[in-house]
Amino acid sequence: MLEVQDLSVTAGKTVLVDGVSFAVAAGAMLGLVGESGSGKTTAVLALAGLLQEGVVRSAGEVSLDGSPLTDARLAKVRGKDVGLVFQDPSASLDPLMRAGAQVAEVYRVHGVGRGEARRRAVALLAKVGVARHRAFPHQLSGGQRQRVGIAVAIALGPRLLIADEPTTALDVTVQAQIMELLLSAQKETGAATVMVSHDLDLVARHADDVAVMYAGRLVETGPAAKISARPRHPYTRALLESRPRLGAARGPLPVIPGQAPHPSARPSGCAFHPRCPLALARCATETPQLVGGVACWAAADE
Amino acid sequence: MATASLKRPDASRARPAVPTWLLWTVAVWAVRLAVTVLGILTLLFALLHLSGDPAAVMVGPGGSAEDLAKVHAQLGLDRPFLDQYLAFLGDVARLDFGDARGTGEAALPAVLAKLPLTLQLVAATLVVSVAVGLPLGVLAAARREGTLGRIIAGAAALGQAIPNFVLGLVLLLVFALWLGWLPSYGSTTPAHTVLPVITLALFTLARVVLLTRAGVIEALSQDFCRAVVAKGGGRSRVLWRHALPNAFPPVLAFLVTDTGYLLSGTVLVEQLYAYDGIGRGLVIAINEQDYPTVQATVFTVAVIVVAVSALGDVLGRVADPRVGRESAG
Amino acid sequence: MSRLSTPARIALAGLALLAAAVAFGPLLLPADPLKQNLADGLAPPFWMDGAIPGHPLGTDQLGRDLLVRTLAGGRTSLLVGFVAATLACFLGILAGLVAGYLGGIIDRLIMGVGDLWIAFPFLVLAIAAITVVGSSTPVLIVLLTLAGWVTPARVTRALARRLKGEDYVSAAVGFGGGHRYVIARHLLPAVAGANAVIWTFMVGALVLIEGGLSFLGLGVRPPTPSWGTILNDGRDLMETAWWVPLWPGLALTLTVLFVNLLGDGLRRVFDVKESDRA
Repeated sequence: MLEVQDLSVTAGKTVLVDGVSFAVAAGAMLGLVGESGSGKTTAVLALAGLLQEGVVRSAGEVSLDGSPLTDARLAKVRGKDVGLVFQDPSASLDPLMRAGAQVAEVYRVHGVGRGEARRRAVALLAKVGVARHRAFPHQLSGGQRQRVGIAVAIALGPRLLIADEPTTALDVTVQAQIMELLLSAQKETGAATVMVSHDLDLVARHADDVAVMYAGRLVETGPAAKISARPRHPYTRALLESRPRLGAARGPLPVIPGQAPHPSARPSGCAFHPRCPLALARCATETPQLVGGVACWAAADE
Repeated sequence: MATASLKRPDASRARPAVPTWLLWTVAVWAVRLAVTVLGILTLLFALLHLSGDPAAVMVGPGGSAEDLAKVHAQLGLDRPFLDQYLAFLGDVARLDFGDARGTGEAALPAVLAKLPLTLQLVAATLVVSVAVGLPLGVLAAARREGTLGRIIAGAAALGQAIPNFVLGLVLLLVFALWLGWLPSYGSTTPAHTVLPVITLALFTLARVVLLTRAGVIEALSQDFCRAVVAKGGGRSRVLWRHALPNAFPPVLAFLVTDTGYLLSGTVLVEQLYAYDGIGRGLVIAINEQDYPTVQATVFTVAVIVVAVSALGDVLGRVADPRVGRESAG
Repeated sequence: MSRLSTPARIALAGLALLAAAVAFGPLLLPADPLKQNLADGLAPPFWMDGAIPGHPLGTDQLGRDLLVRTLAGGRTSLLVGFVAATLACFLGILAGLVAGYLGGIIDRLIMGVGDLWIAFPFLVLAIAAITVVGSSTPVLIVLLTLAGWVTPARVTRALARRLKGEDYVSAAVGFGGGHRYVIARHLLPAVAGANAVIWTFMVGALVLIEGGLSFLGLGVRPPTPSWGTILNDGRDLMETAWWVPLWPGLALTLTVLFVNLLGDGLRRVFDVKESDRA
């Protein structure tokens, strides 16, 4: 079980993630949704302790299965209790290492002998659907590479599985297969899973809970079914509406006017107010807190 | 075979003794060798025959009129140019480059006798450059913000700039003449190789350090290095088992092209230290107007260059499997 | 030039200083680089015992003043390098344009010769050529020019090929501009930056090759001094008069260092990646 309280991440003076809190039960999946720049990737990297130079976790508590997930603990359990699936499998696999060896490396790092590591790696790869364990990444298709990435993440049965936009870099036809693989892996390991995505639709279909992020803050949280049926935050609504749908009425797609703000140029009050169709006067000055699963002055009045 | 085919049915399918791609590669390299060697030698041949009297060049200064006439006839300089060229090609095919002036012995064997010393020098240079250069480069990349990293990078930049014969003179002065730690001239003992190797190696070493450093920095910025940390790997593993191997292919490519530079450099270094390899032999030859030896040396060098290039190609594929045959998508 | 980094600017200043010194030094200083005065032979530089006033850097075995001689040698070395590099770039750009623009078998031929050329150790080839034609300054310049043409050719060819396919080139030709117009207005400016960087590095490289050849006694004819010949003279004097090779050695090293720094700086200004050089 993963518990995140008031997580904040800063890079110098710029706030990238501001007071994010959520919890994920073992075996459940949370979909963390937002546009690029919303801080979603930064937030999960902070969970894994993989922030880059100059970016630090400035506040908040994270605990996994009851005990705090400190940097010290992370250094020991990364790869074992915490698994990470990266976004672009062409970049996250070492181009000079065979697929089997890359999976075996996880075992080796955590004390497994060479022969056994190899055996387990080959078996695991076969299980996720990659038979060519002696292949190099460039010899595999995008989908196969991501399967290797998933194998690496689940090899030691993690308690926390983080998937950073695992299907974004893949063909649409392959996305479904990979999602299926991810879900079955999650069920089998019983890990608390956080899946980051910019695709609310995808998340709503597969995740148990959804958390929507905008400009570093959570704007809406709740069960996936509830959010996709009745989104309360204007941003969430707009996200759902702007997705093209088969069989929908013709006409121009609704677009959210404007652009997501750069972290260093965050609007005052509610960060979404310049683009919000329901903006009130107080939205420009007072930042709404997450109340009852939504952070919006307009929604609070309903 | 019967038992084998029960377990692996496709093993009974006949496989060629030597894979086709290997044959093809060898054929390509054989052609390259021929073209390179012939190209260079033809160039020399043209130069010789189109600029004044070839007989005079072959005989050298101090040759009498009879010598000139004899060589004139030997070379068949009265015959049409094409005939002469074909005769020349025949000589090359038989590896006959004439006789060395002074000794009167066949030119090519004499050059080949000195070849091992030169190869020792070049090989030692390459080994030193890799064995010392790669770790220093990794270190320079890992500590690039700190003092050590900057010192290494700075020293390497300086090392690239010092001309090898200048360095040789300095080393000779300091270590051989002033301190007396190492012998100055000659090539008889292993100690005689130390200064020549250092002199020859500095540029290559410096460049390897800088290339490795750049490659490692680049690799570290990529996702796959972060992925290793996500697996639980430590800094050391990321640096040495992932960043360095990925930084290596360009270094290898550089080393292959650097061989040309090394062979040129060995001429200067051998001359400076009176080290008896083919480089010094070449300088002696030109001073004695010994054209056959010059030609034989050029031939030998051409073969070495092609051989190294071929070797580099093979090693390149091992170092970076992305080069070449398969690729799925 | 305003985007040039500080080390590169220092290097540029250093090179300018050096060029000025070798150009005007011998004119301003009283001593004659060729004048021999055996009585004053092997005088050490000014900070050592036995130094002769009027010869601050010392004298060589024939009593020639080293300061003036080194400067005069610099004239030869730098001039040869400069001229040869410029000629090599001209030749290379021409070859590259022809190969890139015309394509086909001419392209293959030129590039094939280039590949062969650049793989072979140049010094060996140069020595072989000198065996046949003898050595002199003009021969030296020709050889050095031939040493350097390949890199500018390759870079120019790559750019020519790329631009040949560009729409605005076809448009220009379509407007009746003709190929010469296209080359002058589009290609040459595009290759100028990369070639400027290549030229800079090449001057350094060719000065070194000249130095090497002269060091072997195969460069400029005596009594003309060049840094390489002075180093060669100094070789035998290492034990007794080590300062003789010191000055040309220092000068050569500084030149190469400055050239490298300047080249790196220029590379950043013109945004030429290391890989573009090959």
